[in-house]
Amino acid sequence: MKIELCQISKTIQGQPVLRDINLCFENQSCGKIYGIQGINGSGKTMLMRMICGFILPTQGQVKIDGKVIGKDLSFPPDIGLLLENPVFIDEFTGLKNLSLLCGIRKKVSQLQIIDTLKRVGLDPNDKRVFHKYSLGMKQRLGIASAIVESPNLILLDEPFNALDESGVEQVHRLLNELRQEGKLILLACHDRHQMESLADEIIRMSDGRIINEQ
Amino acid sequence: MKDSNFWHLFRRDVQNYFRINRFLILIAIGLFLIGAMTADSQLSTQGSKYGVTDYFIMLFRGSYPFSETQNGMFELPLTWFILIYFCVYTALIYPAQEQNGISSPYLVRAKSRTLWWLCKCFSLVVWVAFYFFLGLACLLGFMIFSGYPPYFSSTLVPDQTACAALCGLPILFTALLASFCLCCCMLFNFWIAQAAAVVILILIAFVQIPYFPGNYSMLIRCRILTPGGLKESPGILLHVILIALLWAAGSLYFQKTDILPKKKGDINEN
Repeated sequence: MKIELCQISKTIQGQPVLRDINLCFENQSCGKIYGIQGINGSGKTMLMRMICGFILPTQGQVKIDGKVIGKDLSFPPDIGLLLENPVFIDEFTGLKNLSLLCGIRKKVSQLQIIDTLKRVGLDPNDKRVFHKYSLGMKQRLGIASAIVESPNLILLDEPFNALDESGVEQVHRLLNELRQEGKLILLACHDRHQMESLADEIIRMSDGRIINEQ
Repeated sequence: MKDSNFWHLFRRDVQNYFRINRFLILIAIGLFLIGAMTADSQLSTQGSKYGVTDYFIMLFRGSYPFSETQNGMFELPLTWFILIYFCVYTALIYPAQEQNGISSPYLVRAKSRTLWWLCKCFSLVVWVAFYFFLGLACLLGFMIFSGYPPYFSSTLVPDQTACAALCGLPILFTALLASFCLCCCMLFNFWIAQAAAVVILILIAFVQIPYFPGNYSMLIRCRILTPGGLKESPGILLHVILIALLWAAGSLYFQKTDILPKKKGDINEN
């Protein structure tokens, strides 16, 4: 899978949020984790939203395997995402929420959904409904929703938010496993240490610009 | 068809409508029952046997425009206003929540923005249809409870086809107004859409503009009930065309719009 951002600029309500971005994310034979790092307000989430097809560039193009978002495609075809705070149906359990989500594509079985919940450290038999979940559990369910259908492209915006130490370790392990499975993972995070321990390539952003790539 | 993305999304939307509005259904039942009592007090003075459709016509009969009122005071037909407005209000709660960015995992699974938008439009129509069906059921229940024989045929409009066309007008108008407010919701926000609905309803009660769709929702302004009034068949056609145009315009706009959570300072939320 190849994602190309060509000369991307975005202005929202007169305020430039992304400026002249040129990037290429690619996983050829093996998986890869790209880290997007920057302080709050640097444009990480906007960049993620643009790759998802939720916001369209004022200038430039986003291409997924050569197809232009907003022209040839509305959204990337094989994507899992966690953007900001995960929101699910309050009255349903984690398992039911995930089953409902997977009901649209019908790509995975109930067993695979249960397995994904276990993978992120949630109990599939937990009868608590979503609004009784702790913040960390909500975050785990958000991550589960991003990976459950085993998409090739996974976008995670601040996946470590609200997680305790063991949760962070679990997500680390999970992301490494996903990389080994050949996934292309884009990870936005403001924590430099997390990023350095996980990402194969780090892109630093400030004020809507790429300031350097490592 | 049953395995298509559209079907799954549509089914989810309809389920969510009922889940989110489940308590409001009780209020709707209450409103229709109060309306039925009001209609009953007006109908029973006329001394004939009335059917469910007569009660329905009384609920949505509305008023003549302001200039034609005799005492010179503007009176908003409350039953008509409340029943239509409450339907529009309930029809917008779920799509507004969805548009506020909470449904991003579903959105990417929809694959297409058009599909997503059309699912919202169709599910909105299902909700409006359900609301009026619920209203008819309440009227029927009221009649049975009051010891009246539950007729469906109308005494006020004996011609069944004309009666069906007449009763369809408030439903079509509500679907049109809700579709318009759905677009307002996307362009602005939920509360501006609600304000637009209230202003349009008051405007309709106040004036009668030729071929302005809302006039047809006030059944008293229609030819079947008032000689020389509006013809119902152009009204039906007009509503259907306008609904289709609004959906198409909404779809085109949604193709080009940014999907952002409508939170204060969202741009700086990164």
